[in-house]
Amino acid sequence: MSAFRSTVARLRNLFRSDVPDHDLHAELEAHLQLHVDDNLAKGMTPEQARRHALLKLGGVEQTKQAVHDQRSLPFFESLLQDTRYATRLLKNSPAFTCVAVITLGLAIGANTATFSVSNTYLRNPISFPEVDRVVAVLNQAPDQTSGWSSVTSADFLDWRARAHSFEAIGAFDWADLNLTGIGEPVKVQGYRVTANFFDVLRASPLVGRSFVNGEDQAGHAPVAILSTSFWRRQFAADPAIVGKIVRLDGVPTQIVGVMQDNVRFPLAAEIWLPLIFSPQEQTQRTSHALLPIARLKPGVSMTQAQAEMRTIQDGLRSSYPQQETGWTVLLMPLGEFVAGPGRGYMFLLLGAVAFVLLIACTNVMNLLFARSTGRQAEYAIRVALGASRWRLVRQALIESVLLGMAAMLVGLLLGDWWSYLIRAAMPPDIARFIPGWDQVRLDRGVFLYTFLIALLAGIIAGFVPAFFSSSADPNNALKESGRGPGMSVSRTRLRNAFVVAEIALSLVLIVGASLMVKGLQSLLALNFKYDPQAVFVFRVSLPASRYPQPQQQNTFFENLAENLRHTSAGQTTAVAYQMPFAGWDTDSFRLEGRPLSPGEYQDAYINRVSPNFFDALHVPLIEGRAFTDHDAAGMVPVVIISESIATHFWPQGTAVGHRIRQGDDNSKEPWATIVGVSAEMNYDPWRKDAPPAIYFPLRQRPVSTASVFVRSSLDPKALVPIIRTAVANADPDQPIFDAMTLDRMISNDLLGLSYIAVLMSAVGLMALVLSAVGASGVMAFAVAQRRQETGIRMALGARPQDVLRMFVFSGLKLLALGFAIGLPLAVVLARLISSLLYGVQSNDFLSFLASAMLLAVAVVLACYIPARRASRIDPIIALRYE
Amino acid sequence: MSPKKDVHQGTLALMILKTLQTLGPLHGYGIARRIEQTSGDLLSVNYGTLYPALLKLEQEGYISSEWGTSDNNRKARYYKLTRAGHKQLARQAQDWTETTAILARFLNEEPS
Repeated sequence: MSAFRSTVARLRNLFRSDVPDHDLHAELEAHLQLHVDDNLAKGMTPEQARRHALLKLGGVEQTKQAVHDQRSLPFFESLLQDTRYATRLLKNSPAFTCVAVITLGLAIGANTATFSVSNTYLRNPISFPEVDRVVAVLNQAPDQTSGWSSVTSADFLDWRARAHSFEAIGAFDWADLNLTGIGEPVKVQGYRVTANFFDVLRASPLVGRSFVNGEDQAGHAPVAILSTSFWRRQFAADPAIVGKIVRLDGVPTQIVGVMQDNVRFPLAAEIWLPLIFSPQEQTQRTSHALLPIARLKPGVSMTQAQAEMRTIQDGLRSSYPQQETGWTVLLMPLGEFVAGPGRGYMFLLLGAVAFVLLIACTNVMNLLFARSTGRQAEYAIRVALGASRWRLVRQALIESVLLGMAAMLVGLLLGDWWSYLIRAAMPPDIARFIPGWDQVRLDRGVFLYTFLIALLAGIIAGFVPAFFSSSADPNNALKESGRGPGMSVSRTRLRNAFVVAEIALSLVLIVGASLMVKGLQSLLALNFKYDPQAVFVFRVSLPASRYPQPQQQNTFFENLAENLRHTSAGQTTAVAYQMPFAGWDTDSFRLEGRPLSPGEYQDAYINRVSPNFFDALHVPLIEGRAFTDHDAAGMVPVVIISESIATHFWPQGTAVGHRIRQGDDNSKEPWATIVGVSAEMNYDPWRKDAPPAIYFPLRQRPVSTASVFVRSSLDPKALVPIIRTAVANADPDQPIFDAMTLDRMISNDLLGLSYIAVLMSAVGLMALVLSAVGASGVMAFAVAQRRQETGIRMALGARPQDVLRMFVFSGLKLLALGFAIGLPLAVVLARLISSLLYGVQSNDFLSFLASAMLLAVAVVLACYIPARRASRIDPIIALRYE
Repeated sequence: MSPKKDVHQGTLALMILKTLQTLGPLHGYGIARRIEQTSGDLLSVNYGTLYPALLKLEQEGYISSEWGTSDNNRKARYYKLTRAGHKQLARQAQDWTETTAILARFLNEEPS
């Protein structure tokens, strides 16, 4: 307690320590007087009395200093002193301070913005109690090296029966539903979930109740739970919603509850229904569609649970070798599962902005170095007067940390603005699929992060210059101070090393940015051949209750296409089960007479299309023919495969005529004859190793949910009413959804990638500018420093172009070194990006060359300007120059 | 006469407190004189350490000070014990008594 009180008192005094110690002075004076009085009383003469008293008192100044030290905290006091001094110095050189603060501020701002976006995305994409104990329990297909696969219903039931690591294990499955009975029919994003799904998440209802045991058993009356946002939007937050009956896909369903607003899992969920397994589903081990999630028991670690699941999977493998061979179980924290493939890119961006910060630090380091060289004499005098080396280092560090703190303010402002821009540019119908997007803000974590990187940046930028300037030998420095900025060889080397590092880092970033842009371009170029601006897409989902027969579904789509053909809308109308760039349904397949060895796995997007699908999307057929209306039910089953299957299995000769079948060895599907080979289409831009595609004719394989493509020259606005009428003529109860041009749909799918490409480019540009500025600064300094030398050279006959060449050449040497270090690093980054993004090759020579050229031009220009100045020096003036 | 000893580190604060308890409010010079006299002039108080010690005690809240006038009409700063100071003195005095008693027993032990 007393120690605390004393510290408080001293801290208080710290900020008043410049008040002269009047009191103490008077007190010591009084002390002296009292002593003198005593001495006089003892009979001394006045001089003797005073002399004796002074002797006894000892050094008055030492006493004052001792009291002063006790009064405040000497360490902090000198720190404060140094800070005041540093502030004054920075204020006195506003140009230097501005450049340094802006340089650091830009980089810190980029870090703040990126961190604020990625923080929520990576750390809290979803919020549930103890969500870090919740895991997704997934499969990995044989030979699948990255990502995960869904799970079969029989596997899930076995896991649930056998696993002891979990408090609860549930599962969910995607379900597109049509909601009717209240106004216009609407399409609803639903999910079927096991009854314990919300227990696993520890999610609780806002109104009504959660699912109860037994509601996911066959025969139970249909029930549903709404999400808060859907309840607000569709039911105007009706407080009496519980108990109401709605029709979902025609089935009367009772609403039993509304989940709380924070329950956004799966992210786009509007409605949850119980997941009921049919008897076939309970035993099927081939269709991977379920996504199980589980909460770990207290005390059970991920590793333990993973180990248990491995054992269980081993058991299943020996019981069902045919279906389970090669399949493994993968546990993934729910946050990671939700963040999905965007994670890799987020880390990439975070790394990139960290690089930019390093470059900015290097620039400021160089500035500080140049400054400290001009202050050699000052340092020398301080050392000569007894300043310790530590004090000098501290002084310099305080200066750079102050710069860092000022830059932090700039960075926070910029970061806030940038993260606002990033968010504002994201369309809301995409943003709702990005986990945590609406949570992005400058919160405590972001502030702390910004503060820490600003502090670190200040220390990094200041440390090396501080260390070097403090090591000056006062003797030499004072002698040299008369002869302009003296620079030892090691210092010049160090500054050059900074430039080399900058060039290397920039090269890495620019190569990264150009690869991202190139990848995106190649993806977009892929689309141009579909001529996507002229194709309008919408989706229709037919409820099984209304269209129980597959042929009825087919008739609907054919009627719809026919209706559209008779409007002013379109020349070509096509129907497809899956859309390019948004594929999701893959399955395994077999070739006739070519059984798989255990552990081998082959899958493809299974698409079902109308005859003119390839025509409407301008996808060329490489071989064979397209489907016709004669490829109907009851006729010979036919199939079209994509190019890569054909070249893989029939490298010589033709694939046409061979037979192929969807599913595994026990598949009940009929063998279908290959009648054509289509060009490859991209079904998933996020997946580098996206599987090929297999197309079946709709007449032989009808679907209930499909996308309808209309190739039309009409404006989308004019098109929508025509489409609505055509759909209503086919069935007035059917809603259409996701209506937009194919162009828009593709750019929506690629939006995340465009974002990252744009951000990477911005980061690359920043790196380019910063390193050019840095190189220019170092060169300008070298020119100034070698002024006399230049003068002598010119006096001895060097021509201006010789001087120019000399300086530019020294810049080129740095450039070459920077490239030598940067290129291998860039190759590593390129490998990383190419593993993430479709269309990026890590050995993309052209991108490397272009990036290197760009950087080289920038750096040479940056060196040329000061070098030119050097070449115009008048030798007489240069020699006189001190 | 043996050379005067400097005040042992850490004991000066206790001596100041005790002096103030015995004599009531007193100025720095008076405190120093008193300590020297009490020790039978065996101790010499270094004023360079006295004033920081007084300041420290004041910061810790054991003593307080105000300006007053001395017997011979000189203005001086007078220190006096606070309530916390009284308690601290009692505590420290007991500690010291115990410590010295223990030490004495050790030092008086006859070699066997």
